[in-house]
Order: sequence, then structure tokens, then C-alpha cells
Amino acid sequence: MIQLILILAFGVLCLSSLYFLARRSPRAEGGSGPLVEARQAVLALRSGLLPPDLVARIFAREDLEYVQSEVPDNVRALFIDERKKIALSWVNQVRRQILCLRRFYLGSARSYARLSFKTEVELALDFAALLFACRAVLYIRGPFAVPGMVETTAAAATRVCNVYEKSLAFLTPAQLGTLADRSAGPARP
Amino acid sequence: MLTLAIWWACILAEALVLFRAFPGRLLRRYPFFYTYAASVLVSDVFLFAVYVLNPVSYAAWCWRAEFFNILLGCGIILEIFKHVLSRYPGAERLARITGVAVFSAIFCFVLLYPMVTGASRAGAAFAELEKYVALERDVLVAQAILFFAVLAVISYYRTAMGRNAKGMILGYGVWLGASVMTLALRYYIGRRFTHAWNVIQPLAYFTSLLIWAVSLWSYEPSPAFDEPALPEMDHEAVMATTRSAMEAMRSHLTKVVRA
Repeated sequence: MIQLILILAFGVLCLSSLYFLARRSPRAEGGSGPLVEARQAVLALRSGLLPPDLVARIFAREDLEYVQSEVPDNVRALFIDERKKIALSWVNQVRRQILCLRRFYLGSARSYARLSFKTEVELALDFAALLFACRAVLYIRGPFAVPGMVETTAAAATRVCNVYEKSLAFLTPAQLGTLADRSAGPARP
Repeated sequence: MLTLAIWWACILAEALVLFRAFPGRLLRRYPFFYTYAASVLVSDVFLFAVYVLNPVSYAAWCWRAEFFNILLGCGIILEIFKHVLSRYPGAERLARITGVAVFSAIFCFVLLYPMVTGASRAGAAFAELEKYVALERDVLVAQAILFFAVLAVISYYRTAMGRNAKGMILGYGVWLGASVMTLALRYYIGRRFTHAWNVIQPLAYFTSLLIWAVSLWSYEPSPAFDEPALPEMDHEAVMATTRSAMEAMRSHLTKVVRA
């Protein structure tokens, strides 16, 4: 019976993956698109999303402590709700930019002949775990429960940004404009 | 009657797929695929003749032809490597390693499983047909695992695919997925499922043939590799730092989740 369930589950998985394959665009996410997106993602992360002051402010525990001690329950509930929305919005934006960087990484990796199987699997799992855990922990435990995680995530994302920034340093603003015109999809803000 | 109608429809669709290969000179471009398509057409016509003229020997011929065609079906995976992955050395290398790992795992499983469970002794009690069903199911599951692994690499690295390659993958995947599931059900439920099996599997195959007929109507290769002429990235440096940053994040996340 277990064997049957496993084979049926595998068959369903195969057929559903074909459905997603059928829906995808025939073009690879290659060319200048991911390059431009990666460059813009690095800029967005650096200037708008990852500065330590901003991160500390969004997830500041002192704000919660102040509200808990000074204001009525309904205001406190409203504050927590609003702060959670802001935190989720921040996480979603960081997540989106990290996905852009991952696309760029995969575009570089797929043409690299000496790719290491072990490293690729580890990186794929790390990316997946990170993207999933950021969201899951925030949803389950709220924005104030995990300040350390957010700081570390932001610091690590900053390190990743530094690397990508060096890799993409050859792209001057003029080249960036030309590539953005050439890329098929609309450039991300 | 329904089975016979599907059978004839399949023969016609197979002939159409092969016929369309000539105007677009697809035979030369996809030799493994068309070897498979020609083989199933010849088998189907031959088996139909056997079924009409000498029904007693039909079952024996049917299983031989099935296994031969299943082996030729591996050619479609070779076409995927040739037309989808060959332009991406990194993705191709990963797909190759995954394929070898999958086959090694299956080989080890096939060797070790009977030793651990005594499955071969239990198998001796089965009727001849049941043994064929089990064998065909196992071979198809192995092929499906390999196919799925290659598909996962293609999806993960988002490699470009033309209509021809996409159609080959979709058509073969539909048939493979449906066959694996129906054979598993046939093996588990037994002869009561035979009637449904005789309809579902040919219908899935007919669907695959329709997909192939449409997608291989004319030659449409995978899109050109549109990489801009920019300096080469130092992929190893990017990879190493990304990896160390990910490790740091992962270890911290583990602590947070456990806290």
C-alpha cells in the first residue's frame, strides 16, 4: 500500500511539474534582464532596505515596551498590527530583491562548466530555507520576537550585496540604461 | 470496441507525427525521438496484425514490444540533453551527475531490496502477467525518476526551450506519469483494474501523440542564447561568498527556530 501511495504521489508530482513547464515562457531568463535586475536589486537593498538604522527602527523592541506600558489595549493592538504589516512589507521587499540576485546567480551558474553539484544543492537549499524561514518565523512569532534574526539576515544580505556589487561594478550607468532598453521585461524599481 | 478505436487513432497519430517529420527535416534533427516514434508505429501495426490473426500469441509479443519501446524512450531524454541542456555547461553537468546518481541509487536498490525482503521468492508465486506488470512498472518508475530529475534541473536553471523540445518533454511526461500510476494501480488492484487500464493507458498515449503532432508540426529550435557581450563574471568568487553568507544565515536561523 505504501509503495502504491509513493508511486501515485510521484506520478502526480510529475504531471503537475509538466503543467508548470507548459505555462512557462519559452525564453530562458538570460540575456541582460537578470543583470540589470541584479544591479537594481543591489542598489535597492543597499540604499533603501538594509541600512542598519532602518532595520533597527522597524523591529525596535523599545517601541513595543513603551506602547505596552503607556497606552490602552486597543491602541497597543493597533500598533502591533500596523508594525507587523510594515515588517512583512519589508521582508517581502528584501525577499523579492534576493530572488533577483538568485536569478542572476543561476544565470551565471548554468553556463559555468565546473559547477560543483554539492555546492549547488547546498546553495539551493540555503536560499529556499532562508526565504521560507524569514516569512514563516515572522508570521508565527511576530515582528518583535526575532530582532536578532532580522539583524543577522540583513547583515548577511548586505555581505551578499557587496559581492554582487563588485561583480556588477563594470556596469556603468550608461551601460545600465542601454541594457535596460534591450532587456525584454520591464525593469524593477 | 473502445480499445480498438483508440488503437487505430494512435496508429494514425503516430503516422501523422512521422509524416510531419519529412517536410521540416526533423528526422535529422531529432534522430533518437523519431527512432522511438518509428518503432512504436511498427510495433503497433505488427501487434494489431498479431491480435487479429493469432490472438493467443498477442500477449507475449506485446510485452516484448513494450520493453523494447520503453528502452528506446530513453532516447527522448538524450534529445533533451542535446537540444535543451547542451548550451548550458553548468546545468548539463548537474543534470548528468543527477542522472548517474539516480541510476546508481536505483541499481543499489534493485540489488539490495530482494536480499532484505526476499521479494524474489515471493515473486515466484505470481502469475506471468503480474510479473510483467511489476517489471514494466519498475522500469518506468526508474525512467520517470530520471526524467523528473532532468526536468527539475531545467526548471531550476530556467534554460531556454523551443516548441519542439517542450512538446517532446510534455508528451513523454504525460505518457510516463500516466503509465507509472496506472501500472501501480493495476499491480495493486489486480485483474479488476485491467479494463480501466486498457482504456486509460492508451488514452494517455494518444494525448502524448497529439502533443507531439502539434509541437513537432514544423521545426522550431530552442531560442538563441541572448547573452550580452559583457566581461565574464568571476563565478567562483560570487559562489564562495554567497555560500558563506548563506551558511551564516542558516546557522542563525536554526538557532532562532530552536529558541
